[in-house]
Amino acid sequence: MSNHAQRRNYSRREFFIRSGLAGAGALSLPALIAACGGGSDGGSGGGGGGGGAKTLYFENWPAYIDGATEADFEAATGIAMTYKEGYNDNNEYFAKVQTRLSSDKAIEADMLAPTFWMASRYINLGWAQKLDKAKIPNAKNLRSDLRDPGFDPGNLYSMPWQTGTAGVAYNIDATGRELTSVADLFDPAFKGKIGMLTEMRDTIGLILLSEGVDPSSISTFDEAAVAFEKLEKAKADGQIRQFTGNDYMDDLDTGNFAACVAWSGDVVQLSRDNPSVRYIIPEEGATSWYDTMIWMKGSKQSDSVAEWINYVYDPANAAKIAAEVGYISPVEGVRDELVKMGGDAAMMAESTILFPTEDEKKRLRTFASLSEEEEAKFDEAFAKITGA
Amino acid sequence: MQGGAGVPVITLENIRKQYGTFVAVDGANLSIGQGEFFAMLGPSGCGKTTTLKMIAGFEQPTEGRILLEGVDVSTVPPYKRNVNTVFQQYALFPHMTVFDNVAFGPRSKKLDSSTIKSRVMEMLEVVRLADFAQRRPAQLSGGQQQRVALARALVNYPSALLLDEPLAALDLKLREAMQLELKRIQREVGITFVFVTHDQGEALTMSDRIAVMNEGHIEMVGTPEDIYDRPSSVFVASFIGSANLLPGVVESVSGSSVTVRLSCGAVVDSSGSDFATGESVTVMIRPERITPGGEAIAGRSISGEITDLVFQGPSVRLIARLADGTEVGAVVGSHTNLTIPRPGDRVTMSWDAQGSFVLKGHPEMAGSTTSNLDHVEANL
Amino acid sequence: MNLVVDRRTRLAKFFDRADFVGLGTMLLLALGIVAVGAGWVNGDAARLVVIALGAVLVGIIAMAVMGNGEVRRKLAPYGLLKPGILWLALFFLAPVWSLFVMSLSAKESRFDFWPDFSWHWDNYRTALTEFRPQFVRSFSYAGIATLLTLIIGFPLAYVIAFRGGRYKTILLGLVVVPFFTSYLIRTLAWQNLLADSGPIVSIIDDLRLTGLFESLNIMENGKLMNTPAAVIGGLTYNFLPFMVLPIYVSMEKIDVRLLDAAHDLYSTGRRAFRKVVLPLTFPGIFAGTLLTFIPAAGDFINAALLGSPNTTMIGNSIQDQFIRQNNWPVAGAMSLVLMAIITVAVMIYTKFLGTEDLV
Repeated sequence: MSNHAQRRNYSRREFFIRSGLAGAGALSLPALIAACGGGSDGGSGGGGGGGGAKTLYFENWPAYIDGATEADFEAATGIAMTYKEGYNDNNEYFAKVQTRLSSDKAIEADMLAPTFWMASRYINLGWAQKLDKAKIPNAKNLRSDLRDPGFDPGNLYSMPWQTGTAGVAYNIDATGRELTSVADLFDPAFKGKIGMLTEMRDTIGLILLSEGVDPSSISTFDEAAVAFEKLEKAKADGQIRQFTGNDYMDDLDTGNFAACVAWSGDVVQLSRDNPSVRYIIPEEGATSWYDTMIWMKGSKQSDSVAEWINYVYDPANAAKIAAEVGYISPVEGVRDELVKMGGDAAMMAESTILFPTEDEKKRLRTFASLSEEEEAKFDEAFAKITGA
Repeated sequence: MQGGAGVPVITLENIRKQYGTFVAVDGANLSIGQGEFFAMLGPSGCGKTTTLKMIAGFEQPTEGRILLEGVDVSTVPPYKRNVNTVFQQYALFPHMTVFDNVAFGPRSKKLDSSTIKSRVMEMLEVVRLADFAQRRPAQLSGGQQQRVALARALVNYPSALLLDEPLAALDLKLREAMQLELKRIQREVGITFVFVTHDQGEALTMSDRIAVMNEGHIEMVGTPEDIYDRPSSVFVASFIGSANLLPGVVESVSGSSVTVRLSCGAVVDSSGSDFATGESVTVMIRPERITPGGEAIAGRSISGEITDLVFQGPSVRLIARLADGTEVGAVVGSHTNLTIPRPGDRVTMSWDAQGSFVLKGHPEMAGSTTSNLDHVEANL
Repeated sequence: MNLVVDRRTRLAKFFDRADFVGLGTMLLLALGIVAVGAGWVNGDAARLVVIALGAVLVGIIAMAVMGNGEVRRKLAPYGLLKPGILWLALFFLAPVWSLFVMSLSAKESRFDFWPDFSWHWDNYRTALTEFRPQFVRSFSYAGIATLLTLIIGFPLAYVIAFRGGRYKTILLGLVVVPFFTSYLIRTLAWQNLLADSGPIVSIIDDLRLTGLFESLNIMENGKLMNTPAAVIGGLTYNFLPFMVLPIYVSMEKIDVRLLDAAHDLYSTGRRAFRKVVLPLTFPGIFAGTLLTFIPAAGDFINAALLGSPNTTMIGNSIQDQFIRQNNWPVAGAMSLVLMAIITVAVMIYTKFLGTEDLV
């Protein structure tokens, strides 16, 4: 039990409530913040300029890196790095930095790792800066399937950090049978024992797939309405026990959740301790997602950002990170490096969760990028269902 | 005053109350008659309050019986006993008006509301608080609260009213006024009052009879005059009023007269029987009985040197030291025709024929023979 | 000679107005703080206002220091009031004002951070219609939880106050000690206790009471976690001391002789309790219910950690609107509606159970 409780700290997405508590601080008055903050334009990167010491402030999701990379990078480049795990939730972080960024002020971090759709929002709002690709030769190692996303052709603004899939995880002790499909989540036998993610694109994406709609090709809310209706009904019927962030792991582990929508890397970690916990790419398909590094507006650390991206796009370095976090690296050649590392890392090279089979890959879909207007409808409808 | 004819209102039969190994009341026997104003007097810790609580029903006797109007109520709970208590700090219900406080008992008895109203108002008239019916206790003075407490108890027409140090919380002036007020009310309602006090003055002023208690025992029961003039023991003599207690030995007994040789050397005659020659006794002489500076009277005088003189308004108190060093107090009117001696004067002090009283045993307080309440309290 | 007198009176006249000066500066400072805090003035203007307020404050202090005893005596009450008033201005008036302004604003576009004030009453319509279930749920959950804390807390306080004897302090400590742990941790612990495989559900299963509990709507589908009962239970648990302590304090103050007096006046134990103990405990019950109900109605932790999507309370919705949906205007409207409902509820409650006549 203590093991599992501890693991909560090691998951990528801290559960929302904690950030909710921190967020209570955000209830303070915006005007006062603005009035008082006026004097300190420039943030942390400020003053660095071209001539100053090179620094890098990277705000990333919790437990999303290995222990050595930060120090290794500093040793290799001489850049003083600040690596913080303060990125808990896409929407919350956006809310937090929106005040400053919308007033043309820099935030503390030079670089963030938002999920692709949020990265798209930052880029569209002009809050991300163009990367100095000339200084990132390793960008060539980016997996071909991740190149040129719709929101950022040529990857001028963003480079993926880690990728993963959102599929169905289940605890066989609680289900009593193997699951194969998204439809299983709606089996009345599991009433009140199903978890769904608060990440709209993963939950709705999977349901769309189960309804035969390809989430990568939709563009309007109407096309996805069927999934919202299905989710709404399941919620009203009491099928869904809870919408969760990363805290689904405990529930899945103890069997409170018989099955849930889950992120691949989490289940890799959890199933090591609890073999009853399994993960599938459902027969209807699963969503694939990625978190992506962007350079924030107002930061002057162009070189540091470029050097960092270049460093983590070296397959050997990328493999070290992948071996620790259990997600799918966006860097070509990592699998070979894992094999070379031997031991546990080599075993991970064999995992179909990290490296889905060709057959499974065909079933993966990335949620389409939505217009601002449509996205608002999706978010609003989803919020209404999650009940908050 | 004693309702000798009828059944006593309250009877205690061999009451004993023990808390663990501590004996609070030991073998108390008492009988209180209809319409009596009865005081239980004693120093704190003497068991008087415990006795009162047993009568009220808040405590159960370990042994013995309590009879109320001839009926054994030893194990009957307080709410079924027809006695009421006026508590020391009055224990008025702070959330109720004066009217509601007084009406509390009748309402418990489920009397109909018009009866309650008339009885409560009648009783408030008796205690002269009718105009205050709608006030809260916190808005009243101490004396008024006291009267509310009285009314609250009396409105139930109990067989007996128990008062636990009823005047202790009042200041001196008010206390004196309330003493008279209590007497008046008692006469008016004609209910038996049993009140507990440690103030002997209060007890003497108000009571028809007094029970003096000490260390769980009832030392004496009697009228104020009996207790003052003819105390049954050295304790009673010392506790009630001021007394010069002079130790001595019986020299001879003849009829109802006793001759005692005091430890100061003087030989005095006094009345008393039931003494044996050679027995240790104490001769009690009240200070106001002593006439200083006159001629010596055989068997009724002692001599000593005046050491102190205290002017007390209506009277003057003299302190004289006898040959053996014991001190004797005398009180004379400040406007007497006698010449009042000055400190340093050697004087003869004499008293009238009924001025002394012989008690068995020696005064327990060594070094001081002039006793009064303060001394007793200080030594307890 | 004449001149001196004249000057003196003029000076005296000025200092006679010391209390007006005190009151005036206090109001000025409060107004200034609200102006800056609520964003009536921004940027350089705000900085200027802050400097001006500082100068006024220095001025009034100088007046107090240099003035005679009379002046100081007149200024003293305002000086003593000032910290409280300024605190209120900064942390109550300004936020509520800005919340009010926010609640009547509208965003031009979704990611426009600064909504414009436009008397956009529609936010209130949204708050009251779309979030009606959450409001209803919040108040019913908080009401039930308050009732439960009263049912559990009253006898507990009674036993500690009247039967605790020398164990009083220890018993009281036992009530309070669990609350030295953080709110969040305590609630998380309940997740484990109420889990499907947890001890409580197992015991209920072993005793074959699952059916009974389900028919009482305490359990749903064999589970305790993520049900309304779990949320209400969590609220009850978390707010219990806020009920027990005020009741205990009011009972502790009751003179036990009042009970003797009641018994003496022919009351049975039950009547003495009803007529004496209970009314004298009302101030404690009153304080306890308010201390429980108000925070419980706005609570979001219990619903978030122990509830399900069908048990969200208004606190969760406000949190979500503020923090995740970025919809500050609607969130502001919801917060103000919550405040208003609670205020009205408390006023009605006070009217019915007013404690001003109780000692």
